[in-house]
Amino acid sequence: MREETFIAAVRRSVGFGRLEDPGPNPLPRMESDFADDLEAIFDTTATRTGATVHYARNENDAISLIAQLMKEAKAESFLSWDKEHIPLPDLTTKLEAAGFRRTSGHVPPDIEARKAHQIGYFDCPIGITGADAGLAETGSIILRSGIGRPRMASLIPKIHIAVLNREHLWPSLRIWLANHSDDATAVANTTIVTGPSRTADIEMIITHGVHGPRYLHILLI
Amino acid sequence: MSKVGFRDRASAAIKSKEALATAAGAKRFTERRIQAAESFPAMEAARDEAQRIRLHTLANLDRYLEQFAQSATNAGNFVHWATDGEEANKIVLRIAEESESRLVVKSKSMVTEEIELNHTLEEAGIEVVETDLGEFIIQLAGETPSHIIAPVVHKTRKQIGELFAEKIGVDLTEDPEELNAAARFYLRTKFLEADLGISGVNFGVADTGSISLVTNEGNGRLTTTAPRVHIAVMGMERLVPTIRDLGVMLEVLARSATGQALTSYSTVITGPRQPDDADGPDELHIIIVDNGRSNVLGQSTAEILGCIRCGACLNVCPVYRESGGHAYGTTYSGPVGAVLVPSLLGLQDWGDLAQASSLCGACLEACPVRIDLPRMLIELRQRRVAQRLATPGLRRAIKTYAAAATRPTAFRVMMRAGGLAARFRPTTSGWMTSLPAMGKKWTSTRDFPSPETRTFHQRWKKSR
Repeated sequence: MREETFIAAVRRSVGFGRLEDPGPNPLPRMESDFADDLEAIFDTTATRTGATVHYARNENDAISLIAQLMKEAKAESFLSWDKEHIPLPDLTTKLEAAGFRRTSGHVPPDIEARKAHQIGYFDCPIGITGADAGLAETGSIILRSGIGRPRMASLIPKIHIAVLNREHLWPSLRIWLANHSDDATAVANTTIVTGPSRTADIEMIITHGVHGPRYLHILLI
Repeated sequence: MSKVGFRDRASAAIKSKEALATAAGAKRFTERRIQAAESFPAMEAARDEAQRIRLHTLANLDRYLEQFAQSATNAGNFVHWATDGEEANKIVLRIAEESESRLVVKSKSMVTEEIELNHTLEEAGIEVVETDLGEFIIQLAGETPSHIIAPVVHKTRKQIGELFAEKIGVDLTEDPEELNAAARFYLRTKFLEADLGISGVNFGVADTGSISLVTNEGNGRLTTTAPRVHIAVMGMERLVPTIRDLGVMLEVLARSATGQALTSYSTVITGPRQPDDADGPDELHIIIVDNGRSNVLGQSTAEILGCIRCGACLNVCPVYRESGGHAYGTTYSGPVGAVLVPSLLGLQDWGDLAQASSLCGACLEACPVRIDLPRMLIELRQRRVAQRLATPGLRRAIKTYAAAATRPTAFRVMMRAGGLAARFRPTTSGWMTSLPAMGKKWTSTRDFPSPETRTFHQRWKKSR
């Protein structure tokens, strides 16, 4: 149907004035309940969602920690963002040098090639990404799509490792959005990840790793 | 009025295994919601904001729809308009055919349940797979969801284990972890090989043309990432003006739905895969569906369109808890369904749903956007009486009462009669379990408070 006809029906009903218009919501409430120690709060809230928070003093510590996680999972390969989007510039190169195989996250445009490429993700054990922000109130991380930032890296593997610069911790989603409203919608896909994949569909019993990652590791550097 | 009404379905459901499982699930949901609200000091303020955002959007919906369509088109999406379910289904089918889709994955969506989309696709020979664990179980069982956010709240794990063993050939188990793993394995191939992904929309953002989807399992993200084409079906009322407003809605949605601070994955999608993006769908279609909503917007129940589908009102409703979602006989159950369905589909066939409430007000207290459900339930009941759709018995009873209550002598006689009856049939609990004559049907499903043995007038006289 044509847009004009559709809108006309809506406009007619709006005209009956059944709802009193309270006006647009004013600038959001910006006070934060915890301005000071974002890191400690993030640790508590993220852990509560089922994620594991790690800390590294320098790049070398961070890389060996990730390599250790991969060894424990008996992983041979990983899917990741490009190195310029992870705040550990040498990470992917060093993991490859250590014998881990990097799966390409770039999906080819041709339809059959696309399916064949994605079927290759089936058993992908590890996904490594950066994170655009961390949110203390909810223990969330924010991931934006783009060139060199496959969405699948935080979605298809059993284990997702996200590297977050502690400078990018914010008190809450509300406050991050107030400061980055354009960032959130300038890319095709912005996802706020709060803990690993979970469900409680069967008798309200919480289980993890239904379709997305079963384990979420957040590494603060 | 439908031949089989709520009363018949509910009497059949009460005390069934299904209703017992529902009651247990609803109770847990409510506990988690209350806990989440208590640990978030700004909850009440956020609810006020959320209510304001929804009311303002609805009061200007024509304008926001135009703005949304314009921004979504600018962002590279195809926007389609559908007056009713049939038109929406036709649009989906056309896109499926143009993209030569044979396998469709779907993430949970109430509006596609409402328009019975799966049926249309399957008739055209297209394989449709529901990917939300609960919806997947429902699809295997050939049933319909009984709760907005927990479609299989009425099923036990034993039943689900047996269903999986029969339908997807896994070893019999009741362990939720193992059932979960079986579904993950089975559905993974479907995701990666699907031609088309179909999702609903939790919120559309008018000024950027973005759509937001929240899921816990990640199936919503996979549905909108893996296939080459993504179709999002959106009820026309789902808009908010800005991304900041979206932030407020997300603050209250998960806390009210599952008791989480945020859902595991809250996604904002603004257009298809951009040039050189690593992955994502090449095409994104947004179908905006009216299907009776513009009509509701002009009624005194317009406020119901503010609903954000969290399910909190179902979980606290004593009627929903006892009878289960299937007793409502339609897509939307509980207090929201009792208002929305008669408003959308008419009092003639669905007006009896407005009676499916004790008017206790728990739904209003639980609603994150403070929708006045009790007011609208009463409003619908009044409309039903005015349109002579109430049962003849009820109308007669109301007429008799009105006649007595407006004549002092008659009223006194009625009250005295009640007092005498109470003296002859005393109760210890203060409730009468059966009434004679016309009252019999009423007490077949509920108790009646025993009248006082002496009327107020008698006591007043004596105390002076």
